[in-house]
Amino acid sequence: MDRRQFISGIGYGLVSLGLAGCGLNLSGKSDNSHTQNTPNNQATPVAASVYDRGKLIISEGTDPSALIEKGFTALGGIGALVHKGSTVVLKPNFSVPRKPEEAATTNPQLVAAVVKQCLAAGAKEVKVIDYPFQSPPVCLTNSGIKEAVESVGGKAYAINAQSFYTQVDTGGKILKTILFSKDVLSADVFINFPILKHHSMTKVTLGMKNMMGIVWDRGYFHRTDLMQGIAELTAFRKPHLTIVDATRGITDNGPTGPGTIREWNQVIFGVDPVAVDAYAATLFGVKPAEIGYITAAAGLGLGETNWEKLTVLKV
Amino acid sequence: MKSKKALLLRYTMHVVSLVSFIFLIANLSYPLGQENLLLQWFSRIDPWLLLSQLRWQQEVPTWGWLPLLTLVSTLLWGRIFCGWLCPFGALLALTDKIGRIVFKKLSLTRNKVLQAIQPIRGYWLLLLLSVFILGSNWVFFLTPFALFGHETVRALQGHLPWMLIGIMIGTLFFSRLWCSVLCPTGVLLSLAARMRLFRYQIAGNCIHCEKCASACSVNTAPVSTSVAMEGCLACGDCQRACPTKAIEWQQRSRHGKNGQLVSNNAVAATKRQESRRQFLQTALVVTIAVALWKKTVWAAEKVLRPPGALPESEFTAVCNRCGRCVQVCPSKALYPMPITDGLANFETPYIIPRRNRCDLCLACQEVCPTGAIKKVSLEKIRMGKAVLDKSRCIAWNEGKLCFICGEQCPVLAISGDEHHRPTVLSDKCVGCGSCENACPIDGEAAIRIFPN
Repeated sequence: MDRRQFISGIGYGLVSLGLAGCGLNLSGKSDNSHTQNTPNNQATPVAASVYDRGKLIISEGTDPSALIEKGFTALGGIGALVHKGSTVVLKPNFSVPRKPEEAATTNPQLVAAVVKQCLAAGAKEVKVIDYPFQSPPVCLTNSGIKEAVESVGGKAYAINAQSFYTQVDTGGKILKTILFSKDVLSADVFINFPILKHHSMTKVTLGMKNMMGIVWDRGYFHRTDLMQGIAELTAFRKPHLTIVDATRGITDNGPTGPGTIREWNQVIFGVDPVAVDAYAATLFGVKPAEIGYITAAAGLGLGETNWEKLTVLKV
Repeated sequence: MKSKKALLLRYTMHVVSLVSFIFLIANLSYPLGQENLLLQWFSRIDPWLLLSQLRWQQEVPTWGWLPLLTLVSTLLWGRIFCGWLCPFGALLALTDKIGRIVFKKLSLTRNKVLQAIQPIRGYWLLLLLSVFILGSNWVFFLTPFALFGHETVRALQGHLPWMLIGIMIGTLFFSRLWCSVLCPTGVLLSLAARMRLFRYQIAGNCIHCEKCASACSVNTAPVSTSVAMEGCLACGDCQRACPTKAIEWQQRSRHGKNGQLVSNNAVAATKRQESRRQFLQTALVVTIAVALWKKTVWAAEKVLRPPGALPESEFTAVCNRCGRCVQVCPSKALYPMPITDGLANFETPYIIPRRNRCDLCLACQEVCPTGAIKKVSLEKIRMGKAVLDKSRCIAWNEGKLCFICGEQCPVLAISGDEHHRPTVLSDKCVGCGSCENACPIDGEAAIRIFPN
């Protein structure tokens, strides 16, 4: 309940007259298949990332701030990516109302550490967003994301209304036009920040799968071809950087949990979304080739499935 | 001067009560904070909440002293709760003031209407009590914290608070008819106020100008009886209206003994004369209550209730429709039932999973003032059961890679086979509706919750 809502609430309560409008109930089941597809407006990737896409940084340890600091130092410093006055969007995973210790959402301390780094580098604004399965207050509170992010000066909110999205031409085979996050589109820097955890359908949820939290109609992916959809979504808007929280995660009953927790104590940094996911899948114990969206993304030329070809730097 | 200070104090209390009540309701949100606790204590001032606890939980709650304090204060000073503390009363007092300014010419009509209707108060209370004891809770629903609560919530949610508007319009024309005759708390406290120790009474030179009568918003001015009647809200308007300053706030025993004796005698005489008729009328009201109460509690089709709700018949009886669960629900899953579903269900909370799912945050249990939504732990919650219609499921029927229902189930009650085709594990299902809500097929979901 923010101040504005409250004031309008008082207004309603006192005046109690002329109340118009019915509760906006936007369901996530809108069907875009009828919308016109203007061809050839293929993803205009935002300025390519400044970091070396041939590098994969594996930061090891247990201290959240140190894990993030080491990673960015190895990449070449946060200042190279985040300039003074830029807007940064972080997309962690807080799609389920689990507590940090339940290891089904991105570790809030890691997220806060990244927000802190970005602000220190001069970012004008750091937005931390997701489109959770469940109600925003419950997910934002239980995951600890809101508290952690706000305590360091960032903004954390759920993009759970259609007004957060705008129609874009994705020009894919499956994804032609979709409703995509305005925040991500207008950001100077977009960092994808998934947690490594089990997923019943795709075996493991990773960076590219995490992108489903920035589109309005997820049901469309399931009704058509989930794996190809995920790959085409990544092709539309490649993150400048993917950071995978592989400190700890559930290894079964994903994505909602509760599940068996395993600790890897790693945070993975990389520009190549396919290589990052391939490495994380291997860490999880699954062959990258078994993950449908990794092979689909490789097929679209989005990156390298064989992560060993990259320079892997453990810090 | 003294009465002016009192007026200022009363207006201050009105504003504080009204604003804080709306503020607290509007601020009910997940995660819950102090606003819930304050609201709980605020509404416990009303003795009806205690009556409900005694009727349904058969135990004296630890906060029982607070409503008893209200009763004791009523025995001492009359309906000071209604006149000074009640947030709904505060709103209606304000509305009445506006009505008196806008419709000046109606002041005579106001008194006549109040005078004509007031005698039914006793029978109304009898009817309310009978129906309440028999087990229907729309009585409780009319009490100020419940009624004003859910009407505020309706307004906050962007719906028309039609009951509130109706009562307010009525107040514009007929003064505080609601407070004086219809409000269950008001009539209950009026009964207690008969024995009150302090009241306004004529202690000076009354010139029978009847200005006190036209100033009174509940038609209890001491004009004809020399003492204010039991429905008096202790607002002091009569005292301020009196041109000869004849009205004083006094203790029963010290002054006006004569007046008291006369009125007592008069009452006694009337009682003797009409005792037979009154007995018959009372019997009639009770008979009507017994005959009708079943009609007011008919069960509608089963619906999905909040997590921890009492069994259906008990739930509609205990719930006072205060609207707090509807307001607090972070996923907006709880809706108040429309009046078309029957008086027994009107304004009780229910869930339509296809619209919004229950996130099992259990904040509704915390805000419920009556215990209709009991504090039940997550493991013991069974709101309903999910049933899968394989013929409509795209995983079973079309071989699609869809397991959204299982993905989103918070209690692992849906298992998938090697092709990710879902199966419901009924013993684990709590009935939160996540699956029905998430099912991506158009129209009715392929997996649906059936209420327990």
